[in-house]
Amino acid sequence: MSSTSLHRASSASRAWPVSVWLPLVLLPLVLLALAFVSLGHGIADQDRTATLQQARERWNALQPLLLDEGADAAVRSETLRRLDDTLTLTESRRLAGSFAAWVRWVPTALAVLAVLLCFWLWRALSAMRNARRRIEDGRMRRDQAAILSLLDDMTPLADGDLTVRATVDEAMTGALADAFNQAVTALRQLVADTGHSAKEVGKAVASTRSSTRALSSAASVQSREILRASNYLNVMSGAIAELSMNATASARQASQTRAAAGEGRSALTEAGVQLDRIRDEAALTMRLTHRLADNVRAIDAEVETVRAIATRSELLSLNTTVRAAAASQRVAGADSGPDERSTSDYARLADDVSDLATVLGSASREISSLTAVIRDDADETLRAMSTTDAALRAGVDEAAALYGHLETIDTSVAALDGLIGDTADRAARQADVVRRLSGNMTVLNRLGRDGATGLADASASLDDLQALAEALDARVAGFRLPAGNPAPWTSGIEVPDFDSDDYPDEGDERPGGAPAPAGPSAADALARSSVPAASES
Amino acid sequence: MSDTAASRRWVVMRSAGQEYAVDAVSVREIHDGWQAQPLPGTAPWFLGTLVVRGRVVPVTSFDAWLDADAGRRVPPFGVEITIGGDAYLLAVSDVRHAVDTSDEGIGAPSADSPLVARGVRVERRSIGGASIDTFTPAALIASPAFSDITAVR
Repeated sequence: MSSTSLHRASSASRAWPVSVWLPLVLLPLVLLALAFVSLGHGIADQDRTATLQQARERWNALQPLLLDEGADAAVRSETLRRLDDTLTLTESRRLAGSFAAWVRWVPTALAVLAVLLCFWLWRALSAMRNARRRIEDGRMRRDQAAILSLLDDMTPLADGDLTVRATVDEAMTGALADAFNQAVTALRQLVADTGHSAKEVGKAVASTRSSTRALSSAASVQSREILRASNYLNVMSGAIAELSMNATASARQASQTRAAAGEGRSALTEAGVQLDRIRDEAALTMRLTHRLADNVRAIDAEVETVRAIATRSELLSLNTTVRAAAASQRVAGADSGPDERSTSDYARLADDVSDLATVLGSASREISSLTAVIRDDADETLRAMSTTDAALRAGVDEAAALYGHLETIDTSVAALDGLIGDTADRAARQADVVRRLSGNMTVLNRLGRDGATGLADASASLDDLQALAEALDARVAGFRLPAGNPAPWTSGIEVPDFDSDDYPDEGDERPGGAPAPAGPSAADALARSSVPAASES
Repeated sequence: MSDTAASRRWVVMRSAGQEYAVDAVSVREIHDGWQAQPLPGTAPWFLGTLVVRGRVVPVTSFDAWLDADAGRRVPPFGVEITIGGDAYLLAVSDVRHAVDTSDEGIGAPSADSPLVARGVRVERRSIGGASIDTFTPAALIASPAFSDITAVR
């Protein structure tokens, strides 16, 4: 801080307060203002007096005219009364101004008083300024001595001695000394922290460099694994595309199966109609066969009648024979010609009746046997038709069940068709996704290689950073700290060993994307790369 | 047949599984569908009486008479035979008529013939090509076994 600025600050700190010098300045100004106001008021009063005089003269000239016109007496008298009051008031004021004539001298007195006060104020201020200058000169000399002492205390700091401590007293530089001591303390802590930080930075840089190298190797392994994964993805994409084509072919087969099921359903429907028709015809045949059996039974009943007739005829024939024999016996006893002829007629009739009975019996037996055969055939036909009807019912039921099965197959195949179509679409999309993923893996591979290169560059930069940290360490070591603070430290940066052979080479990769069977994976490499950092921490 | 005076007409009856023949001259009428009125205290083979054209005719089950072990049976046909002015009805299982031209018998009946066992004189003849035991109503009526219709023989 220069001496001029110090003097200015001291003058400012010792100036009169506003409550003192402001009234001293304002009082003459107020007096001057009052003088001017009084002067103005007197001039205006003279002007008003002249004006009233002129108005008085005009009124005196106008009053007779108003009295002679003979106008409304009440109005004119009121007007005159008011004008008279006004003139009376004006006159009274003028008389009052005449009483304060001595006031015309007040502005002059006030102006003189103000000038005197200003002069006195100037003299007082000059005396005060001279006294203040003398005080400031003494104070400046004391301050210069304190500053020189403070400079003497601060000089060792330029040589890096942080053990210095300025003397704090009541002088102007006391606060500066106190601030200097605080700054030195802070600087001391800063130097200690800087040294510690340089050490930590060195360690961190060493660890980071090791990690960077590990990361570089891991990035190489990652790049190789990404390349393998890309190859796998290419193979997977081809497989998924083939799966999509197979799914499409399966969907086509499912559609054909649905069409075949539809045709089978139509055929089953037609077969069901045919079976219904056959069943109706079988039912008609059964009804006809039943009717035939009924007719056969009726014929049997008639045959029984015929058989009874034949039996009766046979009996009649026997009785005729008996009568003929009796007649023949009588003829043999009487020996007469006509009776013999009658006996012969009896015998012939008996023979004819016997023949008729025999024919009837034979015919009835034949008819009975035929009806028995027909009845047996009808029964057999009915049994066969019953079996056929049962078979037809079973066939209709089986056709219905088969129709239901075909519908189920159609529904299932439709669902399967949808699923296969969806699978084909998904497989196609998946193949596209895998293809894109393969492209992304290629990009990742390139990024991994770039990352490895960047990590190598970062490792080199870390080497530079470690050199900078060591330089900072050397520089901070030049500072001298008090015995209570930590001693100037030495560089304790330790570089962890890193063996790049821990990771497989890129030459391990097999052509065609096949993974190395015994090589460590990228995850293993990353896991091992984290081990040195953990041991460091 | 009228031109063969030697021919005879026979009524062949089947009873108890065998055929027997009786001369058609001694047969008045052959019935069926008859219903005899049974008489109490008579033999099982005696079916009762039957009114035929105003005459009361005793009815004998020829099957039961020939085969007493078979019990009471009512065959469907009735052969009404006459002896003098009396008439008897033989209930048989079947009846037919036959003619033979020979007036001579062909031999003695078999020893185990039921008619012979019951004391009826029987003659074996060839009727209609078959050997059939023939009897006359008089020989039948003369048999004590046929005349005794009481329950205890």
